[in-house]
Amino acid sequence: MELKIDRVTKNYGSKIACDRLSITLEKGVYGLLGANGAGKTTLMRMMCGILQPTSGTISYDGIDVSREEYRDVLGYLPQDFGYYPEFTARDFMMYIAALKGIPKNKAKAKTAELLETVSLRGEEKKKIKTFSGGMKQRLGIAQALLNDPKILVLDEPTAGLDPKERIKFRNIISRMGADRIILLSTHIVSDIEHIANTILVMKDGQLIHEGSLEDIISVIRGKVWECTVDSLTADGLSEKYPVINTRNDGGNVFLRLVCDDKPCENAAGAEATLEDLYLYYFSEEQENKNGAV
Amino acid sequence: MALFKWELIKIVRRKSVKIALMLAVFYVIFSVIYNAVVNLGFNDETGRPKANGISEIARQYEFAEKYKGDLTEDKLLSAYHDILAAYLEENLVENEYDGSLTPSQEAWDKYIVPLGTMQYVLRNVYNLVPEYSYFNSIIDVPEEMIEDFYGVHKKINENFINSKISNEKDRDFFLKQYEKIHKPFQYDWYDGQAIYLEALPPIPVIAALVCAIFSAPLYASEYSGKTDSVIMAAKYGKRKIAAAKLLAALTFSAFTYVLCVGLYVVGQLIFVGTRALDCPIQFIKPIASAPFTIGQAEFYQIVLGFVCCMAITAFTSLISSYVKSSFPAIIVSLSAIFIPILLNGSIPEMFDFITAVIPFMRDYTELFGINIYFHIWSPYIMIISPIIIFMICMPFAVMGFERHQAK
Repeated sequence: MELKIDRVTKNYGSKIACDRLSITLEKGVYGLLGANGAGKTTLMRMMCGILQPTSGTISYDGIDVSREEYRDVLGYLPQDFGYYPEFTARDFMMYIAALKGIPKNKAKAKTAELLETVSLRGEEKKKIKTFSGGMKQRLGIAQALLNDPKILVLDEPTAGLDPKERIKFRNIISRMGADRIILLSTHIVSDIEHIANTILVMKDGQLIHEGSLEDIISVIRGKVWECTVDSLTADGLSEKYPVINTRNDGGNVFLRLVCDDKPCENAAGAEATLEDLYLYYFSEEQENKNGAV
Repeated sequence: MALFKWELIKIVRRKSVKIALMLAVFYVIFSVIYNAVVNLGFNDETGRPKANGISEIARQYEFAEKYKGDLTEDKLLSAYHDILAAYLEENLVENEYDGSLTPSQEAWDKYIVPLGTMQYVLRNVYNLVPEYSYFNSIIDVPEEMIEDFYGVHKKINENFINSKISNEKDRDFFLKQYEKIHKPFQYDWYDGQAIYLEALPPIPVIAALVCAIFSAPLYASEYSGKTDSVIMAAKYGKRKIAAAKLLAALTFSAFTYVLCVGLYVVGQLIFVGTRALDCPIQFIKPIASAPFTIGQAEFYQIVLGFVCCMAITAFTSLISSYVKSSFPAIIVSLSAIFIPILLNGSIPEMFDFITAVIPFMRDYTELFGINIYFHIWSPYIMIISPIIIFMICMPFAVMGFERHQAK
């Protein structure tokens, strides 16, 4: 089981969304990290065969992603998930099941099972237009799992989910990751931290890091600092370095920040996390960019 | 099959479709009733309906019993003699407006009214004979000319064909076509069927309008509603779903058409029945070489409307597959329906060829015409052209969706 992305480039006019990106995915859960506009969604769409790369190829066990055989083993939850307002949750699942070529009886059973899994069992006869954002998202997750996919691509799957649902979702994905390829992107770094075996970091259309949580974090090991300073110093440090955490501590301010060198006299090194890494790479971009590509 | 079913459900559940279909049905029912009650009733001098059309239809059919069937020399002469009787000196009164002598109301009611459409059969033909070209002069037409009704009819048609067509081959086509007209003509009171035939062409346009409304979002709404990503990443999410969508749209088009036209025809049959459907179209317009009955002309219009509706659906679907939202698709589609209708009659004759190939530009009245394109009679071109449009648009519509990029 191998999903091979070979020198894939995608241009939108003069803008390069994906730049000669190559990677081979095997069984496991992959977490895709990157700021808005890093090219995550573009990459995922190309992996799902719904967006044609400008150059390069993507194939699964030698099958091109544009082929029906590939889509047969694919589950996809897009970032901006569209729905039919007049459809009930059950209608929608049955429709997607028909699209995935699942026989009616099997589709019925699978729909019931998945709606139960995503806690929408009692809501199946309600029209989707009456659903909250979180409910729609859960329905989106359920539809992606309908065909028991070997490749699961989830673009921002936890957006809009409450903490309880997020944990439930993580557990489902963790269980499924044993025998399939799962790629998920999210801004909620802790989700990736908990379930991804491999973390991919994208920046400006390129893959800048690939590895386990340990490998990735090693990049910023020794660059995460904690200190308690007066408010004036805190303001100065906040302007200079990416701040991960700020907390008022009596008259002073507690700061957790990322920088190459010790930021102040009383700063002490702290254990690095994925969130620290994310901020280290993307703090400036996050401020400058709006909207995903 | 499952995909087709779901696509059909998606079309049916759209509010815009429900409203459009309801309005179309309302228009058809209104049109059927208006024809029966108002158009087929007779009006008073102010133009307001005086008699209920339904009772008038029954009365006219009763009058027509006398002439029903083969329109023989005897029947023509009988009608002619009735007209002469109305114009006998003792039946004439001075017209209060211009002082001319016209039949009294009693004579009119006794001799002319029971003739029903028989008076038009005579008048329409002899009006085209140069020396008898206005209504009352039918009494001046010699009896032997009435006896030679079919000869006169043939002559006026031949004169028309010879004077209008210079190409010998085309001329022969129409002359031979004329020979195929069944004679003697079958007569019945035909005004009811003629009025329903005349009011039929807008019904397919209304049906096409509904077709455009539900076909415009066929593909485009998936793009604008952002459901394209989920659909296109599914196993059957490209060519198969695109084909299923198109098939569902065409099926619903056929349903819409059958519903609208079917309701109209059923209404027509309820109010005027099947009588007079076998009358020749030459009763409506004597100069016509097509060997068609009124019923066949109506059937032609129904088939023409159907292929035009299917062509509009396929064309709208094609546009829908290439645009990002339903709005441009509906605008282009409505333009394709209404611009030809608005331009109808105002396009120079030299562009006749173009107008014959555009759906809804012409209707069954082309059966009365003498247009030939590349040796094909224009009513055939009018049927063939929408079929070609339909055949061209279908694969490109499917291809448009299949090649769509979910950006």
